[in-house]
Amino acid sequence: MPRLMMLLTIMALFVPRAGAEPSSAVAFDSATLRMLANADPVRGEELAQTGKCYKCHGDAGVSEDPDDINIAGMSSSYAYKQLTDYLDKKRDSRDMYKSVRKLDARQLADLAAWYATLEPAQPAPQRNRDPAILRLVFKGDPERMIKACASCHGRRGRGGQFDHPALAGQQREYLVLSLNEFKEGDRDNDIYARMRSVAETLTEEEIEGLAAYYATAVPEAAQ
Amino acid sequence: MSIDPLRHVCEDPLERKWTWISLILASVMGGVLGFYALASNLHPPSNVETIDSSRLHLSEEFAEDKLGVKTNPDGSLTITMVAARYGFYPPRIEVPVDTPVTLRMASADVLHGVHVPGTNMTTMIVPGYISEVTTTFTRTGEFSLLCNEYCGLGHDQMWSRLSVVEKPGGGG
Repeated sequence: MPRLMMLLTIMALFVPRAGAEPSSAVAFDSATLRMLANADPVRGEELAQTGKCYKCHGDAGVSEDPDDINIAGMSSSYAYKQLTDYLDKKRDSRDMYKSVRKLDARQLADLAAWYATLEPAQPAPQRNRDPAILRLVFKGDPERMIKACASCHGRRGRGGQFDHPALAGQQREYLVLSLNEFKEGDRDNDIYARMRSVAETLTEEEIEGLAAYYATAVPEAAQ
Repeated sequence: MSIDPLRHVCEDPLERKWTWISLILASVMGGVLGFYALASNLHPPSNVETIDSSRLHLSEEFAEDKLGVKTNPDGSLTITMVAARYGFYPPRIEVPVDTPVTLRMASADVLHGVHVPGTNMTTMIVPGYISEVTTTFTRTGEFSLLCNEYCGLGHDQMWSRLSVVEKPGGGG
């Protein structure tokens, strides 16, 4: 079975390259969903230990460096997609590529399953209550064709299906960085440019404001 | 009413009366629908092609760089679009007026619909199938593609823009 998965992954890598270059080779088809459902968090924890994921992402998946993403409680489907995208160089990060390059699809699924079991960081108790930001979060901006953040990422920012990540409790700096990467096109592993098309119309102030709305509390030492 | 066919299934005359009223009402409404469908030559899009919705972005036709407006050798246009929660991609398309346009659309996730108010363009987009509609936009202007099948929390924000412009070379 692992061999079959590996073969499928390799095939998935080569088939699209023959034609156009898709933004991600991950498809949430029944084979992938079955693999994610059968993933083993215990094996994932072992992989996380040997891979020293804690060095950047913290012992419990909550990182100390605000530039590094909190991965505790992230949905396994989203984490699996990102890990695979790093492996396929669809999402650009030397460090992450080096961390995942020796893992196969099932191991990536195990890793994703392990972090999905951890308790996510909580959003700051005093969130950004700027009415313009709340409007973007819950209503969007039809004029700019911006969908409400809540429609895909959930009303409480806990994430949606498959490749819609949770935002609540994320690092503020990481959110700003990601939105800017989508805005500038530096990150392009969102299928059909669904996030890029939103981020490209956001202003710098809105990006800061949205990040402040969803972010976890800033540690006291950093204030 | 001497030989009521409903007598074998229902004893109570009052119940039989109301059953008849319901049946007649349903037949009249069905007849009206049928009449207007025939009289106005309405017909549902009959194209049946299947596609794996979960692998849409890895497919040949609906790959990310294959979407948009393409001109066919006969001068007609084919628009390839994907409906995914919550938008139609590509989000902005431009077509010339009075030109036959074939829209080929597929859903990347759940059931969607597409409707362009002010025109006769409408179809359901069922996951697993390719929807194909051919129409001609007869007025220039800015139109919206709206989702008209409830698809989730962002359904009311699921729309994109269609610009119908003068034909190049002033043909319109």
